[in-house]
Amino acid sequence: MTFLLWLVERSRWCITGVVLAVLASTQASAVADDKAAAETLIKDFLLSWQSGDDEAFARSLHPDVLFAYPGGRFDYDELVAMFSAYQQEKQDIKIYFADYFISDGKTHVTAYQFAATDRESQQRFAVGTGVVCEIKDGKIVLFKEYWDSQLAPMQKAGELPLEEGEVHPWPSSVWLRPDTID
Amino acid sequence: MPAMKTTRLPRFLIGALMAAMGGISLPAEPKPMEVITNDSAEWIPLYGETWWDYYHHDWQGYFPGGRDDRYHNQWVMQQWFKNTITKDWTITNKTHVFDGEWFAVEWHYQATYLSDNFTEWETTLAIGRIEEGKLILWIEYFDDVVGKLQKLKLMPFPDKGETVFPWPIKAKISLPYRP
Repeated sequence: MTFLLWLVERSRWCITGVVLAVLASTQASAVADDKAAAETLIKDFLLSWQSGDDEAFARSLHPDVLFAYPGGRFDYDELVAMFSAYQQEKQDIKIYFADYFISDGKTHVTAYQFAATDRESQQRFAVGTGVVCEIKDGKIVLFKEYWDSQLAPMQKAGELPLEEGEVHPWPSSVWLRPDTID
Repeated sequence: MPAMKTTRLPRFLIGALMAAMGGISLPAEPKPMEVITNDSAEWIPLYGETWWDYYHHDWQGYFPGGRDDRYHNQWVMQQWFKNTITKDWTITNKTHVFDGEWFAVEWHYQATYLSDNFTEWETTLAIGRIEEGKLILWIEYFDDVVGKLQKLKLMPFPDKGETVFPWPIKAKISLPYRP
């Protein structure tokens, strides 16, 4: 009888352990799925710059989106309007992705390089950009972009190389100089 | 040769700079690590403020201003102290994202210019990766124009504790997107 009670008790703990393990595994799988879905959404959103697909661009955005960049911020209507106008000003837009995508399930961080040629001046630039993104209801609701706004003017002036296709804050052929650290 | 551009070293390097100032060469690994982990959520609380003590041999850094590595950085540090531009570097309002060996962190950054005692207040997104229990990759994205605009009184400072954005929330001026 004592043995039977022990067996029942032990089985209960085993079942609890199995259930917890399954739950943990399911949760980890869900996080991985969320991360993969977020990466796809963000990459598709960014690639619409390259394709010029304004419907795909708008489709990725939550109506309450806040888009912030070094220079200001846009709401949904302002962002969609800016996208269309931008396609008229620039050509040969290319998007290059970093080989990392960081996510804790709520906040997603990655980097990419945005390259484009100004239609009027025919000057090209390629700017490495850090991204912080949040998603709500399967749409982008917060998109923060970090880049050095001095980089593109220096590339246009021929003071820095483009190094198009390499995703870094500055061209990686330039070494950090001690007299420029503030 | 690129035109003059200012950047900054990561907060973490201040300790290394101080070591260099004291004429102490950076040892490869001066003290044993308590825990060897590549999990950034564990590693940051343990070593996030002192990683220069555990420099990975293959460390690479990428900043607005150029790239850096372990060997180049030792020359950078030596030269930096001969012509220091700013003092009182302060990092506040950190927000981390942990994802295995990778992590990201946003923060507010303040530094005071020695020339006129002006204190700039900018923001940064940094990305790191840990290998063999040590930081092997460090990338910073920030816009150094913010401090220059603040100096010209064209840009406000962020409020204390304000959510980190590329530009402060109260900024009145705006620039076109990627002109």
